[in-house]
Amino acid sequence: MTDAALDFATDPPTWRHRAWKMAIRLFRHRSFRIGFGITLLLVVVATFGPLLVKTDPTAMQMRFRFRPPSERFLMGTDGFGRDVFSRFIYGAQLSLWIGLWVAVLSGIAGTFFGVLSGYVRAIDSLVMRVMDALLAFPPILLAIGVNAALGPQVHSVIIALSVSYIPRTARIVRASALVVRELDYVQAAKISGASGLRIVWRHILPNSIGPLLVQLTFVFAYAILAEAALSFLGIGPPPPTPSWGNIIAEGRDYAVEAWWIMLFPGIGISLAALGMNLLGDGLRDVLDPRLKIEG
Amino acid sequence: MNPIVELAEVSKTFALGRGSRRPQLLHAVSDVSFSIAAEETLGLVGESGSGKSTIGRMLVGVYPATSGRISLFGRDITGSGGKANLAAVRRRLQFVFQDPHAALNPRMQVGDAIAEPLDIAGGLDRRTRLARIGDLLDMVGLPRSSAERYPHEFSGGQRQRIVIARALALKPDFIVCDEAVSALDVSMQAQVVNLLMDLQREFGLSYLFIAHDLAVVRSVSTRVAVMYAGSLVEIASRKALYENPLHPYTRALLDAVPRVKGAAKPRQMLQGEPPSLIDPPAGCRFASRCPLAEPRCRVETPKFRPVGGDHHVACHLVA
Amino acid sequence: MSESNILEISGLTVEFRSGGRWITAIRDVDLTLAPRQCLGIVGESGSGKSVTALSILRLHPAKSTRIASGRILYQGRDLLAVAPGELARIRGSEIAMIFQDPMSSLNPVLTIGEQIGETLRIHQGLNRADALAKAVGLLDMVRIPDARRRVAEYPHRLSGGMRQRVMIAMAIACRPKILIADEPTTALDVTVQAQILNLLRDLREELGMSVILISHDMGVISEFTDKIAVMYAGQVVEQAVGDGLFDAPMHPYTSGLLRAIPNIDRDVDRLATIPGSIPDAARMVPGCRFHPRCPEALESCRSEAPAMIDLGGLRQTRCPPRAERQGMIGGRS
Ligand SMILES: Nc1ncnc2c1ncn2[C@@H]1O[C@H](COP(=O)(O)OP(=O)(O)OP(=O)(O)O)[C@@H](O)[C@H]1O
Ligand SMILES: Nc1ncnc2c1ncn2[C@@H]1O[C@H](COP(=O)(O)OP(=O)(O)OP(=O)(O)O)[C@@H](O)[C@H]1O
Ligand code: SF4
Ligand SMILES: [Mg+2]
Ligand SMILES: [Mg+2]
Repeated sequence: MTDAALDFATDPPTWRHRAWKMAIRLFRHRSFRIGFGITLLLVVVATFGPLLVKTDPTAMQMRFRFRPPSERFLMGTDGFGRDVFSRFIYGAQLSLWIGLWVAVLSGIAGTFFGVLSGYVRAIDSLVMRVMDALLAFPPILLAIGVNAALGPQVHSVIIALSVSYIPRTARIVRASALVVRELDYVQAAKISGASGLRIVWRHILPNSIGPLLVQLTFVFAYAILAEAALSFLGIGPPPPTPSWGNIIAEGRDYAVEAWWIMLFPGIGISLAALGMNLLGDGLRDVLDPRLKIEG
Repeated sequence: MNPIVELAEVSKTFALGRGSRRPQLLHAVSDVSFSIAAEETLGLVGESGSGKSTIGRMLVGVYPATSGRISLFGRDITGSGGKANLAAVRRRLQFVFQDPHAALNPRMQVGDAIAEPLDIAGGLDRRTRLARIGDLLDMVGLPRSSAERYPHEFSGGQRQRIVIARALALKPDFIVCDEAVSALDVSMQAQVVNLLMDLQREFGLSYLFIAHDLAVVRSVSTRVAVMYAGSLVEIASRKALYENPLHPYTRALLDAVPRVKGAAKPRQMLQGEPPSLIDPPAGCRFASRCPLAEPRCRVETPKFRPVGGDHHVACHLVA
Repeated sequence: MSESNILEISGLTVEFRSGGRWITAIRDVDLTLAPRQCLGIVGESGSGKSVTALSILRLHPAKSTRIASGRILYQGRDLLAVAPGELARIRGSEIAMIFQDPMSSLNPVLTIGEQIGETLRIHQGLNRADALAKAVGLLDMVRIPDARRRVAEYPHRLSGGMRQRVMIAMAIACRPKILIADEPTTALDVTVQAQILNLLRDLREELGMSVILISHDMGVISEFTDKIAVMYAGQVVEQAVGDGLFDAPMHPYTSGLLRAIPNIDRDVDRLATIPGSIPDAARMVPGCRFHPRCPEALESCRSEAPAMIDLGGLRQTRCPPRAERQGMIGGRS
């Protein structure tokens, strides 16, 4: 005990020290490692894949329509004779990009509104009313609106999806905030004169992070899928641009005869969701001191 | 001696069913007056739900008083200018909670938890802050290495010491201990109580010590106040209160203390129902259960009055 | 062994994961409970009282806990082996628990009526209105004034003692066969405490309910229980029936506990403590676990871990020197 006390007195832990320890603990967490591996793999594919795969993902070769996977077409071809493998690789970037941004943006905005309504009781019912209205508003209409305003591009999709996922995220954060705000440690901080901002930052957010992370991994996967539905309606980047979502959307009509069109991007989405999920699990566990896995 | 805490006819009501059109009022505290001198410990005991915690919380500004006047260190924290006065004395007030499990943020290292009041007050560089954390841990008898651990790694008694260390961070002059030792076993209870008394001697602290364990209250308090259904019914020096309790409720309370190897004499259980705080009865609030009650007890509210020395009682039948 | 016990815990050892290792929180705990009996468990903070109680219903965090050995027989069935579905049914309806920390065990965003009602709806299939009516009745029973009007309140709007009584109301809602009460009355004043303990006593008579009462209030233990187990550092160190424990403690730790009780009949300014502190579970001391703090420790106490010694008359201790002295006295007379 005394030895530890001595080190501690001479060498105060800095935030860098803490971050380093956190990183070590993260990498000792098995699901984090696996999730990190999967995510890293996908990011590498999305970033460097297009440099290596020379086949044009939009080139149509009508001679080779609906070819099953073979040596020449690793993932087969679609109804326009486009190489699904190349589309898969090029599409990865767009899909992951959309999933990530939607998770981040709806996470930030949802947390903001959740904390606002959970902590500032005076405006709780107002904010939640707005969130309910948003939840009831058809996302498709929202997307069409944004698309009309900003034009058919990736940003429109990201904004439309982020906005439509805000209410769910906000609800989860609000629920945690409502619980935490009543606990004695928040009272103690208030008695010492803590500002609302400090209470939110030091007490409410750290204790809401678990459910929030779980929610965001879902948002990530849903966003990738939803992008498909939107691209089906002509919202977002126009069709020849590949994304996992629109490969699946286009392949849907041939699900039985040409199963490979949907299968591979489907696996891609599942893998991305799984990776994120494991990553989120690991992060949640490591951030929770009560579940300390190692010393 | 100048009182550092003074309450004059303080009342607190809460609105029940705020959503509904006609919210009902719950009279949690009614017309309570008392004062606490420097370096004094006032024990506060009484019925569960009688408003003890509410008083404690009003004294540190968590709840505003509905009516009456509260002064701390000579400054009125109620009325106009109350906010500014509270802000001016905030550093000198602290609160220790009953439940050591709920009083510490599970995601904050113990060192950061202890330093929270320091961080809020601001103006400490890292090294001084750290030294201060170490000193505080020493003071409550925990190893300095505790600073880097998390609350769940400590037992209930150790957590309560952490909470006390946090309360001491800004060297307050007055601490409300709301059942601060109720959750502890006898040995730990004794350690924490001794610690509180040592700190009192060393730093000249004053305490409002809320508790249910009448034996513990007897050993820490200078004076003891007894509450029933939102009203103060008796206040006296500890010797007078324990050896010559005057109010029938105080007597019932002392009588109900469970004792090792049974009570000395057969116990008179209190009969009847505690009164409603939503529409409190006229007259003495204890009348519905008082073994001595007379007709006038049910109509006339007994005055809280001195009966010799600093012994005060609110009962018609005490001469 | 005996048919007459409703609950028999034998050789229970529970470990928690910490620092990548498994740390033993309680070791070889043996306890029995007969119908209508009230077993009291006392002991210092961290001695394993709650861990023992939580094991009965397997309420430990699954990830970081393992029950290394032992059996918990409830009406002849091993609770450690029953299927999760069955366990969920037993929990609450046949064996109920009052948790030590009311605020963390009550859901802050549901009203107390909803929470008590939920138990009733799950276990007794009542509809919403009946459940609410019954909840009001239960709140009355635990002496919450204005129960009808306060049933719609959220937990944080109640006083500490009221929350504790809500927990008690929830636990007795389904008229369980065994009630495990972990510090059920610490937040109550002594008059309400006496009423609650009387209520539990009545339920014992009426329903044949057995109670395990964990408390550090020796007065409560003495007045309410008929059998007492003293725990220290994860072990039961002494067991006694009736007042024997208070008349002649057979373990120095028990003596220390009794000395530390504050006296209500005198003005004292300094309370007696047991010097030192409970050993760290990760670095358990060899020999008798109490020896570093024991004023009576002999050389042998430092090395040999004492087994439970039966003194007859349902009296047991883990302190050989005391047992020997007792034997000598007994031998002479
Ligand atoms: N925030 C609140 N909102 C509404 N009612 C409240 C609130 N806080 C306390 N009350 C009510 O005020 C009354 C007094 O509560 P208080 O917590 O002061 O009692 P207490 O004397 O501390 O009791 P205990 O000994 O059980 O802790 C109770 O009826 C309680 O329900
Ligand atoms: N979930 C857990 N993870 C790790 N260790 C635990 C856990 N729960 C309990 N322990 C440890 O087990 C030991 C016994 O704890 P337990 O809660 O049973 O004590 P107790 O006798 O109930 O004390 P108290 O009177 O303070 O409630 C303690 O050392 C505690 O730190
Ligand atoms: S005033 Fe009357 S009812 Fe009240 S305590 Fe005294 S005797 Fe009892
Ligand atoms: Mg209270
Ligand atoms: Mg416990």
